[in-house]
Amino acid sequence: MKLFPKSISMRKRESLWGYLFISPWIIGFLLFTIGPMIASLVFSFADYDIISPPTNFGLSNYIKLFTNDPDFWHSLGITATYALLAIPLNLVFGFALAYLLNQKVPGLAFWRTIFYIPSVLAGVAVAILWGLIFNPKYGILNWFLGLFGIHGPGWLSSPDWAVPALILMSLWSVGGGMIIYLAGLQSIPTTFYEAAQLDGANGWQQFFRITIPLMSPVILYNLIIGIIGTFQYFTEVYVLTSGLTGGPGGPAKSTLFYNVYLYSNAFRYMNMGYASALAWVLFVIVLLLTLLVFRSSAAWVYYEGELQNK
Amino acid sequence: MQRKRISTVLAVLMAISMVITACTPKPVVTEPVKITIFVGFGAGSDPDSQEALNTIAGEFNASHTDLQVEFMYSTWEEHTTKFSTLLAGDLVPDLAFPIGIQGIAEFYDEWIDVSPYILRDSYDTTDFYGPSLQLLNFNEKTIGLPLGVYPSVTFFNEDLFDAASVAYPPQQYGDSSWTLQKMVEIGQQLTLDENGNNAASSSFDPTKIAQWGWGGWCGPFRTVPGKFGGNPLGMSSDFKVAEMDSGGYLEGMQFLYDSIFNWHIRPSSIDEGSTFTGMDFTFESGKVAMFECFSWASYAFPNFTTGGNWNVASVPAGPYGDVVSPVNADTFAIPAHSTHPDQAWEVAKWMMEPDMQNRLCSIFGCIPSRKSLAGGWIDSMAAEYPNVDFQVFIDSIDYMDASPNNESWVPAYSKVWDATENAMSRILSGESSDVRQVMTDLQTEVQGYLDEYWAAHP
Amino acid sequence: MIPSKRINEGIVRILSTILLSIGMLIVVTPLVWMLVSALKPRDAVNTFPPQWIPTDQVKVAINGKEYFLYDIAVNGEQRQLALLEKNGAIGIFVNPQNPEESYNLSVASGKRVTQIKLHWENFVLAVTKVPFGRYILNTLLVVVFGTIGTVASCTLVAYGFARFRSKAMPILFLLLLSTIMLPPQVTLIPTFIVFKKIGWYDTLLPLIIPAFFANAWDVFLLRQFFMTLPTELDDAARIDGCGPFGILWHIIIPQSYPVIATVTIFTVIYAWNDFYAPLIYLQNQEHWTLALGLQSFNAVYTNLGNLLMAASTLMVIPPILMFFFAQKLFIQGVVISGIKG
Repeated sequence: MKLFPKSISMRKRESLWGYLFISPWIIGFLLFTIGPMIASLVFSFADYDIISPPTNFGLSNYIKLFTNDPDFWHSLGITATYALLAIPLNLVFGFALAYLLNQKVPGLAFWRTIFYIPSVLAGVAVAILWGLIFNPKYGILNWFLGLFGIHGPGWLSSPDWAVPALILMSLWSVGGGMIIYLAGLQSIPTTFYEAAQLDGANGWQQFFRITIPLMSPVILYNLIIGIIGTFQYFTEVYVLTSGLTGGPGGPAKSTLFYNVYLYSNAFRYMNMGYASALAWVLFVIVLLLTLLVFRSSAAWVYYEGELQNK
Repeated sequence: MQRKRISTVLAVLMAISMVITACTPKPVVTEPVKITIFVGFGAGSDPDSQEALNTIAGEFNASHTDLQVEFMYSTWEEHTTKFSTLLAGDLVPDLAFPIGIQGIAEFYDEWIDVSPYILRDSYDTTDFYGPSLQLLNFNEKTIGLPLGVYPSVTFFNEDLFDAASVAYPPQQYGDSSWTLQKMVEIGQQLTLDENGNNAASSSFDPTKIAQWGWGGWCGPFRTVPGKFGGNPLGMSSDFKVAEMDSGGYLEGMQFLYDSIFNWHIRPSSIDEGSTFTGMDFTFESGKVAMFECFSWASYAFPNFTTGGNWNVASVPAGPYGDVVSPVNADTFAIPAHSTHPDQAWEVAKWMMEPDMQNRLCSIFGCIPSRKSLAGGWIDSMAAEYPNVDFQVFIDSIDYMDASPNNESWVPAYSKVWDATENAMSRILSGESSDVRQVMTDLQTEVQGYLDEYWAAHP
Repeated sequence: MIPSKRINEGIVRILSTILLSIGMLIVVTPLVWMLVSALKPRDAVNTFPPQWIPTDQVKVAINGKEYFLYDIAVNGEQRQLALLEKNGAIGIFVNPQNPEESYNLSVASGKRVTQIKLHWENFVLAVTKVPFGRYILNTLLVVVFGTIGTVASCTLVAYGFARFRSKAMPILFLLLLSTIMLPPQVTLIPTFIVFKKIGWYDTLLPLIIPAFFANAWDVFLLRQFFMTLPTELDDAARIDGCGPFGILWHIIIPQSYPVIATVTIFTVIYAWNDFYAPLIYLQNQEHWTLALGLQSFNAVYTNLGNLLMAASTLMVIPPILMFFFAQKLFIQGVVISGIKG
């Protein structure tokens, strides 16, 4: 099908086809996304209480953010700690689970469904159910630890253990990541393993020389999405801790994640301007981290069908 | 020939009728004004309430031609988001209903003053409880009419009192022996460890408590300072100077700390989280002898009954003689950006007719704030819970914190609120045992918010 | 096979099963609690200590009213009597079969009788208290059309990013990713105003139409997968006269069923559970979705814990069933790689 006239160069034709295919996104971006993004950027330089139009344009939000807001650093610290622990754990567990469920274990479809169910549950039920797992006296987790003689801590009610509890909770819905890894593992042609076996490679070598490299694009996906997602961690922690003593932010502000703080500023304190400034600062942080990871990806990610972009 | 003549006649008749129709003056048909009522600031969002409210809307619409109402529902967790989004998008509801003092404070500048309407219509407010009217008189404006009140009382578990042979707390107000001090005493007699020793005995083991004497005050911290001679709002009357590191604020917080860690009559928040899974009130467990809460806890009365035979008593007096029954209240409010404030007022009046008020209160769980309806309320509650003395609730209304109320507006409302609740959570969880330090920190934080506010609103 | 290798495999298999079983225990227990709570009576969803078996406190009817039944000692004999009235610490207990027979006993000396009862009617109640049929219809509209839109548009866009080079592509891809880096709370109001101005407020359109314009998560995932597919097959097809659309349809998609199935499942479940967008963009209950209806069981000042659990259980079943049966698309076994070797 010759959509573009022959007079255009091959290269030009290729890029035009590319733009054509990504045009649905571009149109949607222009229609629905870019306007609100710019609006929020403008808000970040003003006082905006939602009810009246923005006023007082200037840098005061950003100045206050960096120099006079201990909660900003506190919430950033909590969020970064969570990200630092949750991302690798989720990566490893999701991969391990997918790997286990890629073996010839009887009742495979059943196992996969079981582990995926947590991701399917609506948030409101999850909060209540997790009260049970983490219950210091009657919860399963402490009961399990008790089998080994460990006296489990107060988890969600305790300022010190609330964040670790949330990290563990993120692992409960590792089924989501598991699915993606499964799809990836299923896509590796078995001919590779057969060839390697013929060459005398053992299980470990097959794993590190075939599986991991061929899974690296998917690992990259989960890593980037993990970074973007964990820094915006909100729904679960809000649902879980907004009912506890201390309000949003949990007991002694121990679960004041960045996005919870942002949400409080936006819709509780009616300070949308400041919330927008918080949002854009987070944007820059996440963007930089993402760029870093992408840059590093040239070293460890392998695409079978990669084209060399100029 | 016949057919042609008939069709001609028909055509002529049609033409004549069309001319007649065109020339007759048409009656002016006005679209009925639609009043949207926003439900989400408090009760009313659950399926049963939705059904009942929609039925009421149906009745209103059937009996009115110029006015129609429609309820719109939001979850309470997201009500500020939903409401402010509607405001920003110019889709302002005409009424917010039911709305409490906290909801009013959240969007304080948005509500109109209804006193001109009250004057214009010579609305008779004599049937309302005086304090409940006071609640809605803010500095420069009156917002709404009191739909219902929720005074606080002392709930107690008769079975636990019986088992320990302790006399029940008094149900009449005016008993000068019923003080917080006395409450702590019997609280200790009713706090038992696993071996049956009570908290006053020397062999009591505070690490193995099986039953607590006191479940605390169920409301936010601002319900507490008034009992210690302080001001619920914790600041000077001009809202410029925070007063949270001394007086009622400090003493109230100290009492909370002592009740958990010195007298052992109240579970810490960690105990609450671990022991009383998922309960709204530890009292439901049947392992807590007393606690103080608002009458809106009535939705949990069936759970209280599961915990044992319970009853209510009056609120004890504080160390300086203050008898304060913290109160929440429901009213309606009309947003300033509503396009039909007059009609909204008409709808509000219809809702506040005694019969309708009674019906709404049975949906929301409030005590109707009309004196004439008190007897009916007591009877309907007593039918379900014959053992409980509901007169205590009515008596408590005289002791409510009308002005200022524990939910009243202060500058930077939600920020100050969160800061206060956070301070209490530090004490309740045991994260800090230095009450003085916690209150000083709170003082500094809140003073900062006040300074910030006044700098922007000179 | 060498014997040690077989032992190795056996050990791995046993270890896997043990690990999976522990994992399953952790995963399944809350779900069991959800089901158990759904079967509890309204006034005993949460008790101290927590109950794993739904239990009622027994009541008996006497002259049209209900009274608690107590296990209590009378003259040294254990009897089951109803507590008619309480006067301080003493209660009037009567024989439920013969209300004339009454005793004055200390209430504290007795204990309420309990019985195990599964309240299956909670499931019916959960469904009838809300306009369930209406909600399902709206939810299906959103889920079906939203998924079609998402899968179609994301496949196209991901194909563009994966198989076509240009100077602007890397920047555009970064721009795509950046759209999900900004917390949505701050764009909520401007976005709302956009939809309101188009006239889509209180309709399902804001929940459906944007799906047809792709989203960063699914495009990114599909793009990663497409880039693992060798280009030799593309080239072969091109030589045979296939245009870009043909390559997409005949070469790329058939090799990508696992990832397309993944995107479909994710999208379906997200749309099924999303209550936030419906809360913001809908008003009239005629337009509500299931997820939003479920939220109303969690309203403040209510006591509907058992119905909430029942409704949550029901809501979880269709996605689970869908996932279970969709796994056929995962189990591809031997993937056609064709060209190599």
